Amino acid sequence: MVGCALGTTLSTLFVGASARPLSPVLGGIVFVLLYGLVIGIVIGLAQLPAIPRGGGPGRAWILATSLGAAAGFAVASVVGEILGNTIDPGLNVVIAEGAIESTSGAIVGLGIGFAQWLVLRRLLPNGRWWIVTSAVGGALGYGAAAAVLEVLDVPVLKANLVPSFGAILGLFVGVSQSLVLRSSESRGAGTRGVRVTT
Amino acid sequence: MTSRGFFALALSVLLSVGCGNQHVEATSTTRSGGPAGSAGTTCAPTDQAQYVYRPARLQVVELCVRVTGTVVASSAEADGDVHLQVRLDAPYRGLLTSGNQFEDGDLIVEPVCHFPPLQADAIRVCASDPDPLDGALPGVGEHVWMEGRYILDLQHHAWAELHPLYRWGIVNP
Repeated sequence: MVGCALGTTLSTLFVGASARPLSPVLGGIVFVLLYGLVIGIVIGLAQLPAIPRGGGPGRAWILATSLGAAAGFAVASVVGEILGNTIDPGLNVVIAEGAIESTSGAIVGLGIGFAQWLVLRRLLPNGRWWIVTSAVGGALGYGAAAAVLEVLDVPVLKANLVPSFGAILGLFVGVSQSLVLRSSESRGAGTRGVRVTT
Repeated sequence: MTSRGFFALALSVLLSVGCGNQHVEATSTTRSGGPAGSAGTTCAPTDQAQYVYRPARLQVVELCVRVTGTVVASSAEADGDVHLQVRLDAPYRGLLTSGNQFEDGDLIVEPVCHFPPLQADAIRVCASDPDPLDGALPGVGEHVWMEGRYILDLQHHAWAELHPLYRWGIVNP
C-alpha cells in the first residue's frame, strides 16, 4: 500500500513536471510508459523486503516490476480509451466508470503480476495465482479508488487526491498478493517469515 | 460567390452562432487565465478540446460560449480536470439544463489536464497536451467571466458544462 501510494505520487509529480516540455517531442504514449516505469520502480522497492528469500537479486525484482507496470499502464491507457468511447455514455455512470476503471486496473495488475511472476515462479508452488490475484487486486483497487474519490466524494481523501488514489489501489493489490504469499508460506515453500508490506 | 467567399461567410455565421449570443457586461480583468486577448467580445476556441478524454461522453452544443457568474465550489478530479461549480448571473441561466439540479443548479466548468491524471485512460491524452490552461484558477467566491466549449455531459444527467474552459478573468464590480 505504501509502495503504491508513493509510486503514484512520485509518478504523478514526475508527469506533471515533465509532460509539458517533453510531450511534444516524445508523444503521449511514451509518457505513459515512463509513468509506469516510475510507479513500478517505487512499488518494486517497497515490496523488496517482503518477497520470498531467494527471490533473486533485488534488481531483477525492481526491473520486472517497473517493466510490468510500464507495459500494464500503456495497454490500460489504450484499452481504457477504446472502452470509454465504445460504452454508451447514457449508461449508468457507476456501471460505466466501474467497467472502464476496473478493466484498466486489471490490465495494470496483470502487467505487474506477470512480470513479477517471472521472478517468483521458481519459489511459489502456486505462482500462477500471483498473476490472477494481481489482476484482481488491480481491478478492485482502481474501481474502489474511482468509487471512493468520485462517487462518495469524501472531502479528506479528495483534498489528498494523489496519495489517496495510490493508497486505495495499493491496499487492494497488496492484500491480494499477500494471499498468495501466505498460502505459499503455509505450504512451506521457501516463504517462511515473509512479511507483506505492499 | 466563390467557394472561398462561401467558406468565409459560413465561418462567420458559425462564429456568430457560437459566440454572438452571449454578452459580457464587464470584462476588465485584474486576474485571468488562458491565452491573451481574452477581454474582448469575440469568443474563440483554443486547442484544448482535443485533449478531452473520452470525447463521446460530451455532446457539443456550441464551440465557444462566454458566461459570467460566481464560483461556488472547486475540486480536483482523478482525470486531471478541475471541477468548478459556477452560479451563473441571470442572463446566462438559460444555458442550464434540468440535469444541473444535481449540481445545485450551477454550471459545471472544467479546465482539462490541469493536474496530471490518475485514471489510466486519461494519462496519455493529458500527456499529449503541450499547453493546458495556464496559471491559477478562480477561487471560491470570485465573480468571473469564463469562455469555454458549451456541452452536455451525457454521462451525468446531461447537465450543462463549459468543457474545456478556454480562458477566464475577474469581472470588475
